Amino acid sequence: MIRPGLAAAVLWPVASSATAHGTFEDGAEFYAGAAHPFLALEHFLLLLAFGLLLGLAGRDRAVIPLLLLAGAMIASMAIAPATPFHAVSLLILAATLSMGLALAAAWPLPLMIMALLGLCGGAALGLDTDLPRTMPGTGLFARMAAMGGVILSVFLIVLNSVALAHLITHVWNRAPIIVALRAAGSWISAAALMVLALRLRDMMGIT
Amino acid sequence: MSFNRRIVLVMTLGIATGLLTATAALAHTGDNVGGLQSGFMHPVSGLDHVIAMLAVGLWGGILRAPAVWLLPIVFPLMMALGGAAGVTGIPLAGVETGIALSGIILGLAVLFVLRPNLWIAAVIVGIFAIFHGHAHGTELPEAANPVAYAVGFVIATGLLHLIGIAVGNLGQFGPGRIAVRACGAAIALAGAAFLTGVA
Repeated sequence: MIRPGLAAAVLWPVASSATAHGTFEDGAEFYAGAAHPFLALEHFLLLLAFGLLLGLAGRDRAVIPLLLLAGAMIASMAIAPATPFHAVSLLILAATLSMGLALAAAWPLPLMIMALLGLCGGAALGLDTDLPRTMPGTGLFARMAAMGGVILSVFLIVLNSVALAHLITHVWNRAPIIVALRAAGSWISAAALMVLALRLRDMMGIT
Repeated sequence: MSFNRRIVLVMTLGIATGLLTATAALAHTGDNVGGLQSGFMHPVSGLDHVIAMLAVGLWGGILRAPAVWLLPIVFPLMMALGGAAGVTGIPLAGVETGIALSGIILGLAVLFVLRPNLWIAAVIVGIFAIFHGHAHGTELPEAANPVAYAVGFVIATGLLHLIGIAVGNLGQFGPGRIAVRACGAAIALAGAAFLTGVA
């Protein structure tokens, strides 16, 4: 009987790439939408902080805030053309700052507040995604594909963050690892505070 | 070796190895990489920043819990306050002097194994963090991507703290105590060199 290790060693040099799936045509809008939450660091920080905070509170309490986040985001992406709100990035940064501080303090927020953060955060993220500006002249299907990509990535980021924070605080529950979570919170809030100051400076025209 | 010590040792070795040997992973070109890389390199490329960050970690390692985690959490937050002041153009007198003094004071604290009350240590670290943050913040508006820049230098600061904490934990052992105090002396000397303009 051939040993698995020997078989692997024999087969490895002759293996070719398994390109079973490639990009599909006309999927550019979906990919663009899926990439957006990762590339827009302000959005990523908010989603990361939100997910970690949800996990800190316990994954059982994550469902409602997460659904509110997604729902608010879909609604705001859909109505964005009618509501230009240029200061929305300030809301995103302020929310990120407050969530980062709560994380640094290891303070699990009440469900009501998390739900409110999900609602407001989702609305702000959707407005800031600003599909009409980033995808001018595209059809309804393309915009829906982009929204689908955005929501998928949002769930990826938030759910993984929830799982990680839950593991750290409720499963492993080891002091050094919990400190790492708190340190992450301080880093998130520190970055958010400085960028918030920059945005305020630009808005107020301070030189 | 206890679980906590194993964690600290493994993390320190991994991070230190990574910092010392890693090359830039320029998988993506564009503004994000420029901002993140620039931000990460800013504390690391300035020796005056590096020695102070290491000293905070060393001192935390000496003071043990809860200072060992409280100081590295307080520092970024206070640094951000200083950074916000720098970004908005609020002047802060003697930034470079404050940064140099941070190396001297924190280095001496490590050298003489000073163990003040937790709130005193936090205040000292917080005050110096404002000076460091102000220096970083003045460059933030020039960054290609301010968010990436801010994230980069906050991460770099945190990693330097972690290295300091790991080294500071060596103070639990006989020869390690001498090594840690020697590090404190070196940091204090370096801070004095920056203050006097020798370095």
